[in-house]
Amino acid sequence: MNLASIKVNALLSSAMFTAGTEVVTSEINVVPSVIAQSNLPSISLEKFGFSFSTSGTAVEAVASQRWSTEKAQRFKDLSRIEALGVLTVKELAELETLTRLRRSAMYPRTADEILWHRGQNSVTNGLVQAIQQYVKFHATNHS
Amino acid sequence: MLNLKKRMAASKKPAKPPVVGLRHPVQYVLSFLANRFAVAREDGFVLAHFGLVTKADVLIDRFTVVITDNTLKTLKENLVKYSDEVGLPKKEIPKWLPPARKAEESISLLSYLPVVDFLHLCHGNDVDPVDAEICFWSYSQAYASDLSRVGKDQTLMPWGIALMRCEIDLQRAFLAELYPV
Repeated sequence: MNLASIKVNALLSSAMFTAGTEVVTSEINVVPSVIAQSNLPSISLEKFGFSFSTSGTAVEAVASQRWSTEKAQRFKDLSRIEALGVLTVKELAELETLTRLRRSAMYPRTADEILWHRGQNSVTNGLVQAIQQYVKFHATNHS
Repeated sequence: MLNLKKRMAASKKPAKPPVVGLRHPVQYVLSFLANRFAVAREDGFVLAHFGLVTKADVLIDRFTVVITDNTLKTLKENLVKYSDEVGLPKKEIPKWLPPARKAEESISLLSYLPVVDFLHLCHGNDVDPVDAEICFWSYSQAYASDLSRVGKDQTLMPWGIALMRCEIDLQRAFLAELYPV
């Protein structure tokens, strides 16, 4: 019997096996790329803003990649290297990813808090840009 | 006395709402790749348009889903937290205005506007280019409600409306657009 199999060695795991027919030949093996993050699918049935004859649905949250002692150690190592000013671009990207993960795992925030901080960052960046333009304008006018 | 206080505090604690797990659909109606998106806000719902545009600026595939405001509200904690973990886009996705549908599209799958109840997102490792995926699911809220009455650990398999593959930055930008500051 021919067997079509899909190997899943990623975070979203579980192997699937499908029995093929006698006629169709060859084995199919797919090794998917490793999934780094995903949101978890579950719904909690509570608040319902609109009317249905049955009770309501609301989707509960959470993300998936786990903070671990290995990641914590890597975060410390990279932070130390960054303090010395010798991080590569790849390491910088890794540190940024770990910083986000650490924040969501160690200091979880609500959606509203996350959006408020985004707004604050956006306004601050706008302010910094405006000041830079202001300084540049005066510097060029006086030179 | 202390026990009584604890019991009283426990009795005031709101009951945890029943949770129904969603299993990944076995199959999807459509699967496609996208490199453009646009979010149009309407009264009570959002139209999320996705397109695949070539280098020559030719639109070769497109798809639109409807997400109600209520669904957006209930998915907010989930999606904004995921968005916080993946971060904001590092490169800008070109602005795109989806063209009006042609008459011949009205009888095809492209013209159908499915309502989405759940967005399942994931992305790969930080190896350039990072692939991301958005799965659009739909389920009967009546069925979910019925299941919640049956007991704990109930799961349902939603309808796999569409599976969309894209770059991580498109996924990041789409989430930021769905939940603007």
